[in-house]
Amino acid sequence: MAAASQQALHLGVRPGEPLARVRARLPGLHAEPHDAAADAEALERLGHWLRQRMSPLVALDLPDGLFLEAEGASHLFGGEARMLDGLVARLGRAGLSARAALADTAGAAHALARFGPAATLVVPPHAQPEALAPLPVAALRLPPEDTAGLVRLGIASIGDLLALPRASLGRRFGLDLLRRLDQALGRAGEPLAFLPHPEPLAATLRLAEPVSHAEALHALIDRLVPLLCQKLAQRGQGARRLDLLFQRLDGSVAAVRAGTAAPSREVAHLSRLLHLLVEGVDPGFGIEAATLACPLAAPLPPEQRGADMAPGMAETVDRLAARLGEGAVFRLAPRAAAFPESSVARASPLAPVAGGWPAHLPRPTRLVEPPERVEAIAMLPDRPPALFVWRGRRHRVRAADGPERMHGEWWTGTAGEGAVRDYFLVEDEEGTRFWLFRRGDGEDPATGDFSWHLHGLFGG
Amino acid sequence: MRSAPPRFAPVPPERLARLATLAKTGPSGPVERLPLGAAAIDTALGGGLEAHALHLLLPDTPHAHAATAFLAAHLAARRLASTGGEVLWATPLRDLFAPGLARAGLAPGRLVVACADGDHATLAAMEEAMGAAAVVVGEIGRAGPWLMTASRRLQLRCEARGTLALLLVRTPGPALPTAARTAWQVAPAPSALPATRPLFAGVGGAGLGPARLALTLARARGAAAAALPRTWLVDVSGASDAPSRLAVAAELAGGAAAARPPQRAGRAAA
Repeated sequence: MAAASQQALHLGVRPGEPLARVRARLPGLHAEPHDAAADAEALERLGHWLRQRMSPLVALDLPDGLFLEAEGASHLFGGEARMLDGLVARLGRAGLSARAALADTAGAAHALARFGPAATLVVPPHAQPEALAPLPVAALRLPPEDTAGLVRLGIASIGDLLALPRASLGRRFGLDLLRRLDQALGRAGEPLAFLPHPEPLAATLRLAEPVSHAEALHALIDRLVPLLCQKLAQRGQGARRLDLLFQRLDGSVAAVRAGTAAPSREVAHLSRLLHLLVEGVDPGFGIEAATLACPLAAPLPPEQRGADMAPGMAETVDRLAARLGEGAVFRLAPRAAAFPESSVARASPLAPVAGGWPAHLPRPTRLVEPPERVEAIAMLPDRPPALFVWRGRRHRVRAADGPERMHGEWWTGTAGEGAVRDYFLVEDEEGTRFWLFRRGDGEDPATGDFSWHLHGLFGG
Repeated sequence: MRSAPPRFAPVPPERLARLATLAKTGPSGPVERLPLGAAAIDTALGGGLEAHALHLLLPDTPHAHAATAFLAAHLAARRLASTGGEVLWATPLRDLFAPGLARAGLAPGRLVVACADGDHATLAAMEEAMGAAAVVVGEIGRAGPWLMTASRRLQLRCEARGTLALLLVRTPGPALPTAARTAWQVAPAPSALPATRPLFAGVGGAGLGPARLALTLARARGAAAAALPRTWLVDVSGASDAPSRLAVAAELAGGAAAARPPQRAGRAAA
């Protein structure tokens, strides 16, 4: 018997018993030949599944376990304890009963997951000796005959082992025991063979010279993110998870994982996420390569690139354009221009709009285009009109603001049009606010003919 | 043919039945409200405008269509601040000036304009965009009795899709009864001048303070007829990257008439 189901365990079946004896007791027992290779394969599949969803660094712990690097990933789940609970619950929903423990070392986590007091357990930093002491020596990943030997000598728990002098331990039980003990306690490192990242959605940079300062890590992000976003764009996908893996000189890997609420391939957005996370990365002796991988992506149509359009808006825009005519649906995008009438450009409704207009300057809500000639009484060179007549009606100005001088683009301007305009915001006696300008600077007739024009109406 | 205005499909009978109950009782349960940001008006409205509803903005003077547009942009920006998403602005006019809308808080990245040809196309575009756009604004030339039916369609759609819709009328006129939850008459009013009153000051200087609008609540569903109209004088300060601010300066006794300057009567006949 290699393994038994939960039900069989309840009936008293124990792994390790000869099958014939169990069959004699339970004639209805269903048994399958043990296929270790298939088990390992399934475990690896599970490992990749977890690598996409939980942590970028997953290693096999054959025959029945997996190691997950929680550092750099637990923030996505609201902390270490929640990450473990979520992990076990998730596996439970998939029909797998699992136990999980989180500790400073892989050895301690391995021992506590199997022999610990609870289904999920988080060991505080540097608390391995206390947590491990009550566990049986079988938790130490030793060959079964070594474990049996220890038990025969009356050493049942790891605490018993720790009470013995270290020198004699090595002499009597071999260096293997010392190594396992040190690995569990964090006195010796343990390189784990993490599952490879087979994602086609990945970008890697290998550095000619190892780097170890923070600016260099940020610079790596700035170079990697556009590369990945390009690949995402080619596939019409957006990233839901991003893994940034730093290959250290000593062969170890530091990883951070970022998650997005909605699929995204916006360079600025993804870079920002990674810049925040990379602060916690320890470069060790130096970093010689960096990989940015996207283990989880979701479709993201090209038209939603950049513009954070509400769902359905793109389709609505398409329907409106079909109904009202091509070019009848648009955005009003800022454009650098000398005069206001050119400062707005019609842009595709699906294109993102960047920038804006100078915020502190008064701008009307409605533009009167082309500007309408008005008769005005004003003192030169720089006073606002005291009175003006527009569309046959007199407006007496009770207050004004200005002038705001605008210089035309002399290289496109036509003579007489006026190369200079002085804009005034005026309020008439009813409270209506108008935008008026005078052509020319008020002194030199070459800059304009000093005529007054109404260019807009203010709503507020 | 684009010149022929699209005809509305007949209203299904179950919708008419629902409309009949709605007209009697109004929507049940608490309704989401959008505060204008002017405390006295929000109190009078019971917390603000109904957010899943149609509201009508009418100009009260010939040039007040700039003020209605500014108010619509202000309300849209306030609504987007809680919902996110976009504003669809359907209009046959070409005079909207985006830098001015931005000063009301409506950023260009949040605004999609649909240039509809005529009132019917505008209303149809509004209906089409509801749900996908968080706020729908439409501009029509003139209100008339026909608006009763069209506004019912829009109001039902607002409730079904959870959309705020603002209908702006271009030509000044009376606030006819419609299915809109509220109808406002908007007019500019002389602003409070800065204490030190220079005839002019440099740009950004103290030449002019906040603009003042006379906002008249002409109709409100569920309000007692005797309580309306009510008029508030509201100071409007444009902001660059946030919804503009409204502040009630005073409430006028006697409704809209008092807010109008005396020469208005002569202009209305023109």
